Amino acid sequence: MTRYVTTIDLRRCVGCQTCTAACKGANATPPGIQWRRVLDIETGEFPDVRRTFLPMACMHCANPPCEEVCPTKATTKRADGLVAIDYDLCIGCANCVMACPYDARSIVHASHFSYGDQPLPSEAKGFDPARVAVSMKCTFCVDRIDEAAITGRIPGVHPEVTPACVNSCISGAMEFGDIEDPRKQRQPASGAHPSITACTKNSAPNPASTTYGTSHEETGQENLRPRVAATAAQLGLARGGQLHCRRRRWRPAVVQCAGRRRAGADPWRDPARPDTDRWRPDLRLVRDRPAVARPECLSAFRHILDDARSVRGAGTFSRGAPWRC
Amino acid sequence: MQYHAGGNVGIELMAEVSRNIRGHDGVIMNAKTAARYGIAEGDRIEVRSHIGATYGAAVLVQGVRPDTLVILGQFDHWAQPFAKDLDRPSLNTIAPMSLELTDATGSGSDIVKVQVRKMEGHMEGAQA
Repeated sequence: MTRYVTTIDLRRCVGCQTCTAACKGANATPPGIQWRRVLDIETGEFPDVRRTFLPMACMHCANPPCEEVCPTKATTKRADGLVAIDYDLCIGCANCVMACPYDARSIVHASHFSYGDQPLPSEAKGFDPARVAVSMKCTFCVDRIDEAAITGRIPGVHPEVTPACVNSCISGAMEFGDIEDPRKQRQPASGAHPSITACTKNSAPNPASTTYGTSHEETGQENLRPRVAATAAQLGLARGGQLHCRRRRWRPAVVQCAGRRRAGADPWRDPARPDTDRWRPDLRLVRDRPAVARPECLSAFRHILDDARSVRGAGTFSRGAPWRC
Repeated sequence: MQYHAGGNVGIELMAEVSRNIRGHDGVIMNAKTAARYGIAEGDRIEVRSHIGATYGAAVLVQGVRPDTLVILGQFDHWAQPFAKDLDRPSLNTIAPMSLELTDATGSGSDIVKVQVRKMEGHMEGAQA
């Protein structure tokens, strides 16, 4: 089985919007349409303020609400985890735009370009008339994924078959790959990390394909970075339900870091990348929340932020100030 | 962010993407201070120093000192197509050029004492 996922390490994201620009370039989206973007969110009250950057795109949900409401079956969940739109079947009714809790979809009814009616050469090259007046969103750069099936290259390993946003990430916050690909688990010294197998076994059969976290153990993508998984073990974090990306309708698991240094051992230092020391977190776990009822657009992020506050301890993080983005 | 500077401002894609950064197209102001001045989110405000004035939409945040305004844009654009219509505030209009405050990289300490007042009108498209 193949299941493609993106993991996003919120500690590493610096909000530079390079992924936003890379996506726009790679997919030639019209002005104002961003399949991938980074939200800039402030919580707290002066002087106790925290700024969070939250990369956003189609979450390729486990149970996509967009698929549910599509009257023509244009939106489908593929076997490899991707949520795809068949532009020929889509009638542009916008049901899915309203249903998406992540505000990930958009419809453009007439083609327009950066500087008026005439496209730039780059825009002309990427222009797809099939995308006018139909619903569109992040595809996980599906053409590259499909190419991988032909060429045998591995998405997440070979950049030519990896989504543009992941390739462009300047801080390595985003990773992409087939979470069930055994080839990746063999790459690092996986024998030293028994947690890897345990995590894989405990993972829900079909979680949402985009997860946030501060380690790849929490996001369930432990096979890409066993170093981090081992670190979580060193920190004495309990393994089990809360550490995993559990099956949740539409809501990814979030573990927010408090950003403080830990005394003693230095498990976050990577000899290969000395600069990673700066991003070392103080891990706290989020409460396990029940699945939410179908939310309004963006309210999913309210839960993420609520979690971010709750892990900081009552009153110390937000003082009850409303979230904003 | 580097999108405010040089040739980048004329690139539509860069201008669009930079708006994802809070306050990139306005004057960043502490929310409590703004309330004292009767300034609401998106209000057009004038920021005046001893050498000039610049105008932009107020972007109210918590994460800035109550006695400080922040303007990210540094360059005025009088002629370039597209960029001249962005209508973003520019620090260079109000901060004096000072060799004493310029370091070896060519970067200046762009700090100036200003007064701020609310103008008529509300700017559309201000960053929330």
